Amino acid sequence: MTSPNVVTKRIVLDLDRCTGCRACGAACHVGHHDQTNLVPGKVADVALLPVHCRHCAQPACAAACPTGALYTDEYGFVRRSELLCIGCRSCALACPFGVIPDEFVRHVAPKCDLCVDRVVEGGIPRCVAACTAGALSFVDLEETVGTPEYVGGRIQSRSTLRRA
Amino acid sequence: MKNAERSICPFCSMGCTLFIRPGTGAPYVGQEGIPALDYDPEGHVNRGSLCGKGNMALELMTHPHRLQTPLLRLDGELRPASWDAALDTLASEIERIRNADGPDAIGILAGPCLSNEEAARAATLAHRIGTPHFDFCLPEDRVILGGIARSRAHPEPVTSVEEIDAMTAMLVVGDLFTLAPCIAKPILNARYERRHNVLGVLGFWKSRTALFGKPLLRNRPGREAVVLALLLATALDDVGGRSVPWRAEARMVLDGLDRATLQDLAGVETADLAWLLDALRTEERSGVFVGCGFAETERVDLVAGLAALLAEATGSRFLSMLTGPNSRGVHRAVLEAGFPKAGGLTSPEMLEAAGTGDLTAIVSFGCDPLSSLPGRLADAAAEKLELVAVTGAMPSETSRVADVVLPSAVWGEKTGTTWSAFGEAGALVEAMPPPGAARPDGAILADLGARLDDAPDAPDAPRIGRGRRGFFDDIDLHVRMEQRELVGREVGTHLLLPEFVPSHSGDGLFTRHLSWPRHEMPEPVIALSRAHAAELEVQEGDHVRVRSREAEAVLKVRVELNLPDDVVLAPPHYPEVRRLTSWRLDTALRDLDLRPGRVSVEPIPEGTR
Repeated sequence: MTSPNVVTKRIVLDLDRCTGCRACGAACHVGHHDQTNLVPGKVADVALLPVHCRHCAQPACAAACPTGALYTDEYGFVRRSELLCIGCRSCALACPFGVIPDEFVRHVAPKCDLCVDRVVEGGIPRCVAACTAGALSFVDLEETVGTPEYVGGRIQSRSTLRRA
Repeated sequence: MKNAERSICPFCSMGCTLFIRPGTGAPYVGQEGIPALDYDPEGHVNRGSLCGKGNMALELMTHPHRLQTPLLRLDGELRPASWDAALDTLASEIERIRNADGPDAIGILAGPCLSNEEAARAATLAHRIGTPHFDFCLPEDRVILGGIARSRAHPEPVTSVEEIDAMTAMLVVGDLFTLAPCIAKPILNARYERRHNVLGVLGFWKSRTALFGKPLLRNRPGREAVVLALLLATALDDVGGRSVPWRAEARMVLDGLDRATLQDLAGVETADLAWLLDALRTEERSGVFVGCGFAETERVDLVAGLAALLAEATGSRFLSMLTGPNSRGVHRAVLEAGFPKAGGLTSPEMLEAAGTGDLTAIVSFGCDPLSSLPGRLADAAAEKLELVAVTGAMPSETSRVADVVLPSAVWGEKTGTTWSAFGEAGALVEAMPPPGAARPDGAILADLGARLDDAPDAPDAPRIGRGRRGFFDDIDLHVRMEQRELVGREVGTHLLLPEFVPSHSGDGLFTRHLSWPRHEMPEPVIALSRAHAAELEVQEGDHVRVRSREAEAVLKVRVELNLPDDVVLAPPHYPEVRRLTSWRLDTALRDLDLRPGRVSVEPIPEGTR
């Protein structure tokens, strides 16, 4: 974390509020030229939740990439170069969270870029902006340290009142 | 935000706002001239959020399928024509039919994509032609609006989402979060941010909305109306007294209904009903939301009307979702212009009259009647009609058989006002020009009107003698329905209910063309319960043959958990699926009976497909 440009904000999903409407996926699809970088995760056939890229500090996908197409940029985001990617799917296999979907468009791995074009201007990613239930938020990781609600990019149930 | 124009989402009637930035899109490719969509965090309905459809708003404008030039059918083939040629031909054809068959051989339909001004202009055109047949077209919204009107309920409407935020007791009927996802935010805010709040969800399966239900009232499939009738009856029992007019009226209806029979038909827990009713009545801020459209339930008009009455009886606020972007405005404009006049036909009746040859021309603005109305009626009409003229942004079922196709502008390309589901006025802005030679419906209507001769406007006939029957005469239909099932007139055993896949809604006029819905669901599917799939020995991804009384279709299987075994779901925006529905024209109500039909599902043997 040496670069002054590093953005420490990440996308967090509130499990209690997600209705599975897939608006986040649609926003991602539209914002990235018909390539959906956001993976829907199916939880026991009951719920469909978005699974977001964590933008790891030590990305396994980048380590697995044979062409160096995946790299950590100046903002601390794990990015994919469209020119270098050969669509070999190594990253999809390597990712421990399964956030790189197996549906390759234009022979290029779909990879979340945290909507860097919006974030560097002080905006929020498209999926967070579009979320219809207020389930996605773009929060500073440092704020979540020591907060028991935030576990692995998720907000767990905050109170027993929820989802009775 | 530079050059951004605030516009309204063109898909459903929530009136969500969004920003259009002309010519700044495509940040990755760097193309010029493509508009970009931006979210409006200050939007008072959606607060920045947009559902799967709303995110597609700009694709609608830049879509390669957009109609860009008027088309005329010459020698059986649609050919590009100039505006002058197209409008002159249309005007002279209308004149010819008016002289030959009389003005009442011409039907005019107004769709939900018109602005209020355009709808009023379409009414003027109908006056000018002298036809009594002018109506709002989208059946699911017509039926809901008609049901609420017939119930004569006057619940206090929800006028803003801030009200929903502050509610402590709510009842949602149907799968509202899938039909109108943007309203999930205020409802969940209310649900989670206040202690001891109640969000009753009435639905037949564990839908996306039902996951949040507390209490969750799981009725038998299609029996939402019975549960609502039961709630209403209980509410009236407990209150007592006949001083308020609606109360006497509703009681008259509910009298003679056996409570035990209702209870049995409804199939929900009595304790949950009592809890919910108590909350709706005692909490200061409560609301009833109707979120079922199409044929998700038996008699959706009854459901909407009963929910409105329940809202009034419990002092709750009321909101009913509509699937068309300006259904409320266009419906209102039609009524305000004095239509349907004496002898005038409603939109499904027009199609039927066309099938029998009584109506020889249909001119439709901003809708796709042949795909939104039942296939059987549409086929007969398409065969018999002498003149079909349609305005539209995209190729549709109607434009396929039309003689005159006029390309029209979509929202974001024209100015005007709308009425949202909240009854709130919205302003359309022209953020960018329509593609090619496409023009707003209002301009088309003005030009067409100028070309027709100036017939003196007929004085507005009083709207009497329409043969309406009372709203609640239908309540015993549920008992009759039981008998119908026993008689076995239906071909199958499984109730076909429409599924609102996220990012799909309406009659599919637009959504079938857009990339996200195609990405999500490239072909029509049918959702079966796990037990049903096991019984048929089919797996997810296999194809099955689905037969209804009306039609037959081959659909791909998706296995859905939580689905009752006697129900199958299919997305209604596909024409194949819509043709399976058994919608009928109810001659007494003069509207469609959007009752779900039964279908049989058979596996297709290997190698025969």
